[in-house]
Amino acid sequence: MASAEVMRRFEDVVLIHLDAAYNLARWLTGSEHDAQDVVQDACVRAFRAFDQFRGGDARAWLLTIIRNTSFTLMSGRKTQMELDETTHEPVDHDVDPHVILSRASDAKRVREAIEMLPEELRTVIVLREMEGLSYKQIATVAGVPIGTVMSRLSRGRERLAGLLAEDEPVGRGS
Amino acid sequence: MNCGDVRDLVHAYADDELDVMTAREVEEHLELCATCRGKLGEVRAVKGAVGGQYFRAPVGLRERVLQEIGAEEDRSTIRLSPNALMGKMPTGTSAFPGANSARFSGRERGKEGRFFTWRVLATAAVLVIVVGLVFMMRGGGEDRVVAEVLTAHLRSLQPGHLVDVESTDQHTVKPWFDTHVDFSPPVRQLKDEGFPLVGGRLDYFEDRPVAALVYSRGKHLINLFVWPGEKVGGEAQRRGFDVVHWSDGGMTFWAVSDLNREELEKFAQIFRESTPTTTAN
Repeated sequence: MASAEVMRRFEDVVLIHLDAAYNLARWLTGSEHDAQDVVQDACVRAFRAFDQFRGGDARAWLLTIIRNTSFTLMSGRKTQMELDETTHEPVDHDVDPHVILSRASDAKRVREAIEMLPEELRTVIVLREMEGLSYKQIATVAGVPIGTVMSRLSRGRERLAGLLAEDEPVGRGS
Repeated sequence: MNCGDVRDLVHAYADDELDVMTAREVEEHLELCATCRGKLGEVRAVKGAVGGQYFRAPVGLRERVLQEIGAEEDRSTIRLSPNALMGKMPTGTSAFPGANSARFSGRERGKEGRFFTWRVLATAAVLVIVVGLVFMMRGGGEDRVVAEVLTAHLRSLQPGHLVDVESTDQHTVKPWFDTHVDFSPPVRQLKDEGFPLVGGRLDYFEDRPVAALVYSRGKHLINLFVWPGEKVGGEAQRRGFDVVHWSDGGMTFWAVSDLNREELEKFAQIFRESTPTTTAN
């Protein structure tokens, strides 16, 4: 039976990363409500496994659980916005940074572009650009080698650059 | 190092993930090559655009997480014994903010329901309290109100139920109430006093609409229920629950929270003493 002591330690070590947990869950589920469910499920799982947590990177540890929990919740569902690998080829030309910068202030547009990324690209983008995780930490959370993290990051950014540079706002069937 | 090499490395360069030697080689190439510099600019522009799209955990999520963990912790000892509910109710502790629901369940008797998921049991725990409270409070009107207040507080902590109008601005929350209830609850921003306004919600006690003002104190939430009426009973404290009750200007007020008692009383005091934005009708 967990004591108040353990609970306090769990709060100090794990729950301080609640924002990170929610942010990842929010991007993986695409819904505020689902994200909250995922965070609650994941935190209960984390608490159950907490006695096996031997220190180290609590944030990466929690985010790994968040990712697995999101998949459990999302399995059987299809995200509507996600790009199909085949229908939306990434641009093969370079994009003028000024064009991207001019669109960066349009939060809705940026958000939709991120939502359109396939999950494996979205995950590494969120972990790197929003959480500032190192490649090594991302590799842990995503369960892939560092080389894969690097190629996903570059593919994700190429896609985003292309989507943000389009004249028409991004959207289904564009 | 040629353009092909640099294009492969420019992402890791922008992420500061290259070793010093490789980074220097990339830089040497960038000095000479405008195309690759443009690529770096593109990568940085994307990084900048995406980096700001952060979703912070909503207010109350932490409490709900702790509540569910508390329910999980008591998973094998959930009781349906009214005796446990009749006893003195523990108040929220710093280790278990929001976990009162699980705490109420007591620890004397019962069997483990392994075939239930934890979520079902967490819900069951809440139901046990609600049922228990209604049972316990069936006595007088005042007791019934306390039960309603606590039930509504627990209900508001479920995902998506906290506020109907989320705003830290009393001048947004106040007009919202004016169009949703037929009385005019005083709404005060107490941010400077350490109790920022989170928003407002319409709730129902026995079919009567009541205004719920939501305030926060650190990671804790306070529900302040307001409706026209006078103070009932002489005691603000009830059986160890963190409920504070008063009336003012024809309105009756019930504040409930997992905050410790002193803090909740401080909140009540500050609210009463603060200048109302509008006086009650």
